[in-house]
Amino acid sequence: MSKTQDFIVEIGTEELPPNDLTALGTSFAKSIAEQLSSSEINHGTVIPYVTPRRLAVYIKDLEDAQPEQKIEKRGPALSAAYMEDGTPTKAAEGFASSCGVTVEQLTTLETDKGSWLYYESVKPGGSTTDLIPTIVTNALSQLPIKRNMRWGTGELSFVRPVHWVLMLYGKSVVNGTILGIQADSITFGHRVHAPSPIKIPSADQYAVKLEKDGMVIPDFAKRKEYIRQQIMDIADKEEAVAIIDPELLNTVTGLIEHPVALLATFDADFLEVPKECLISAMQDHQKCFALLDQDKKLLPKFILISNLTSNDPPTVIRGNELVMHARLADAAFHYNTDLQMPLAKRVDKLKNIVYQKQLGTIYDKILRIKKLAKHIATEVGADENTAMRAAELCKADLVTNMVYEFPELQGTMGYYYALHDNESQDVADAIVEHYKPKFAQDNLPISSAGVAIAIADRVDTLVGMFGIGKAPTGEKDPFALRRQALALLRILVDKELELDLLQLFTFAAEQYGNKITDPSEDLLLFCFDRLKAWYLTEDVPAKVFASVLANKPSSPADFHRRIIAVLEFQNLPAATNLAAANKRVHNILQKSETTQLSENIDPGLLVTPEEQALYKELQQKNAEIIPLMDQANYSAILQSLASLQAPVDNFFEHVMVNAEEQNLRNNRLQMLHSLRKLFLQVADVSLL
Amino acid sequence: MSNDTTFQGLITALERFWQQQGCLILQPYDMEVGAGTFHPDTFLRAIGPEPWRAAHVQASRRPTDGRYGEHPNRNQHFFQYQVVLKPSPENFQELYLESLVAIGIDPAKHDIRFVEDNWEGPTLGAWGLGWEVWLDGMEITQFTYFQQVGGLECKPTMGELAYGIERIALYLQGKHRTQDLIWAIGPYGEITYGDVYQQSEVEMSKYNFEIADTDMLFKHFDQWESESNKMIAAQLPLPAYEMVLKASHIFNLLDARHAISVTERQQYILRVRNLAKQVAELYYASREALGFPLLSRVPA
Repeated sequence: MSKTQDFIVEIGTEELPPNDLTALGTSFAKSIAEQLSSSEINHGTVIPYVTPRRLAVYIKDLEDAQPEQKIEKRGPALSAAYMEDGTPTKAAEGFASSCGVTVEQLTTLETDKGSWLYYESVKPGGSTTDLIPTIVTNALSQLPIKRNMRWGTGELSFVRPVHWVLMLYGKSVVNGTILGIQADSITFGHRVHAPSPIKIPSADQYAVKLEKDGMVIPDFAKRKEYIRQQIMDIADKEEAVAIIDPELLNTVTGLIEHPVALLATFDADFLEVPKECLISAMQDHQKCFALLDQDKKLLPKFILISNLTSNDPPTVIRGNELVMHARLADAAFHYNTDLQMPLAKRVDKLKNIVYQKQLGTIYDKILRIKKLAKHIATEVGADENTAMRAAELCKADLVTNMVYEFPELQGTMGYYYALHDNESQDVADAIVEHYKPKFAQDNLPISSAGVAIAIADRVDTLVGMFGIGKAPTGEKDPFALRRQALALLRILVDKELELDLLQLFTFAAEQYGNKITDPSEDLLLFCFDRLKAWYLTEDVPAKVFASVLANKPSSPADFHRRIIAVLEFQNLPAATNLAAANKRVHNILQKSETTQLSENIDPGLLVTPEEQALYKELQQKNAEIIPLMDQANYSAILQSLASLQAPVDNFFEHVMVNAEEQNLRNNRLQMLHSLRKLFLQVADVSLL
Repeated sequence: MSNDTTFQGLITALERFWQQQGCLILQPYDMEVGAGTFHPDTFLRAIGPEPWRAAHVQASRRPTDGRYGEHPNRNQHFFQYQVVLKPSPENFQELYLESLVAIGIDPAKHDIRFVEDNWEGPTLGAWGLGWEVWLDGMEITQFTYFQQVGGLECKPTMGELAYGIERIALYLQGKHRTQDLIWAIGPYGEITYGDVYQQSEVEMSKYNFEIADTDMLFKHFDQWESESNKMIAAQLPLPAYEMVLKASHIFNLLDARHAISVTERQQYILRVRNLAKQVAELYYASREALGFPLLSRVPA
């Protein structure tokens, strides 16, 4: 029986990239665990610890060795192993030497099928501490490092320069050299608060000791929650609400080992600048957290997270306030400079900004978006003039100082500047909303002009990029076209807009002239793929999607109604039988050689009561669904068709489709064809 | 620890500290450069296997940063304190922190952080990894391990510190505006940074943004480019490099005049980079031909 002990490995480095920390830690832990299991070494929980200055992995209850390995090999049959005089044959000697022994050392394996030369031995398992250095080295070489670097003489490379390696199995140092450094039991804590080396007595003491003596919280999640709690405590005291951007919180956690939150203030005069600008300046540049009052108004205060329990906190606060003042002064300067030139005058400057080499400038894009917006304005219920004005101005903020400084404010600044220029509220709303939805859970545009431009912009992008062969391939999607397509589909479906994608793409392609080859067909298929992925996340079964896709409805809103209809149909008691019947009909029709099937059923050739009944039923349904089809009321159609279950079942039970007489047979096939067409108008339910 | 918080006192303290670390105390380069990195004693010395330790003030010119002397901390002409150590020492970060102590910044009092900031010099075909160093939220130093210079791999690696000395002085002196910094206290009382540079900031901003003759500058760019190419052909990397610096500064001026469109901009950067790459290769070859003389000074 093997014994277990805890294990810790820590790589001490210079400050690591904060936004890569968790990925590095997770990968390090995962790779070590995977190698341990492929070496058949069992272990308990695996915990990564990451701070700016360390990547560590702690493993509980790690077995001290691999299991023994029993080795068994069967050699040549005894009859082929020895010559008549009893001397071993070449085959026997070859087998023995392949096992590293002589023929005399081999045994025999007797079975009822015969006897063979046999080799049997036990290979002791490797000791964990012998294997670990290689496992750790492999894991480090597999880290998802964006850019490796060299330092000093340049012999080694890693994310950042490495200064120490701690590796303990239980209480003992694991002997090994990692990234050029001999492993030891020494770690280092916070640079200022714990400058001396810290000896870790045993693996299980690592995190506790580092926290207590090293003044560092090694656990990322714990550190993050500790920061969040400090922010919320200060906010509570101020009767305020802190804006805790999750990405910012992660970055800050990645930058800090010893978090101390402090409250600072800024000059209330800056509040004249739109709050988004001030918040961006605080977050992007200074990595600080903004505070809102109960009415969601920005307060002239901010929370900074320092990496020190300073012996003079007011100095740290004063310093941060000084920088924040300069940052906000910059933002105010940009805002006031931007106000000097109306958006409408900036549009011309878009001629200097290349959108895409082959597709021209942003200005060219604007011209196309305008045409598209005009083309669809009525259909999306937008005022044509509003939509065209908003289209004209929607990218003009790209040539403002503020957006140059804070790209994430595109749209937002357009909104503020448009209002300042006395554009209508509708135009301003459309400008800010046309970028929505920006991500999967984001809200959709609300204003109708915003909807029109959101659609126009995305259609133009998709058609342009596909038209010059920049469709996403595999993992690669540098222009985020999948996201753009999904955004487009979400808008069309959620807003129930009856726009036909194929027509829309073709119209958009025409606007590009000969710059592109019309990609409409491919793009439609791409959109179907996106729809499929979307429906899967919404728990719509793949076969339901497939049944609707059979018709390739190129209006997403129409597609969606059919999906809903099929989902409802599936819940009807008749669904299973009708799906099976459709499948049967499909198979029969495929096998039948009759190619020219029409709906012209000859009532005179209907001999059995069951086929007469079905015929009557079909006639009635055909008439019944014509108005429903006009209303695109697919749910009602499928509900109505559900009553065909009994006549169809009866038909198959009593009627022989492949009758001897050709005219009877053809007539029956025609009837089945007619039945299938009824369903196919909505979806191919045979696929359910 | 230094008690002299004047601008020149700060420079003296840095100079003294890095001298004690075995750096050559060099002088600023006598041409317009955008940063200390352009000084040949950084850019060219980063190339090849020879060791190098140097420190000096470098005046930096960035025409687009001009604000007519009105902005609290943006000027078209400012100073960096440049330190290069090659190979970068094991205790590089510790040395840097000690240098802060030497200029009166106590790490137990101030929040000092190393915030990832990877440096890229597109005109020099150079990049490095490192940080901007924050002092209570203010960026005071760019800390870089050069990885590539002029398209050549840096092995051994040169470590570079570029102290933003105006910002540090602002902090030490508790001032809000660069122009209010005390440069020195002498027989005429306090002489401020503004006393020395304000007029120049106003006039140079006007020249850079409004007056500089762009036709002439375009012509000069082409001429210096062609001259640099001639020097490359003549196997003279140092003169060729000076002409790269001239072309690079002219490009910056044209940029300030908004004379270069976005699409052309990339082309101009590539033209300078192309020269810088050739200079780097030529410089390497010339040092190699000399047998990398400084290599023999490394104790075995």
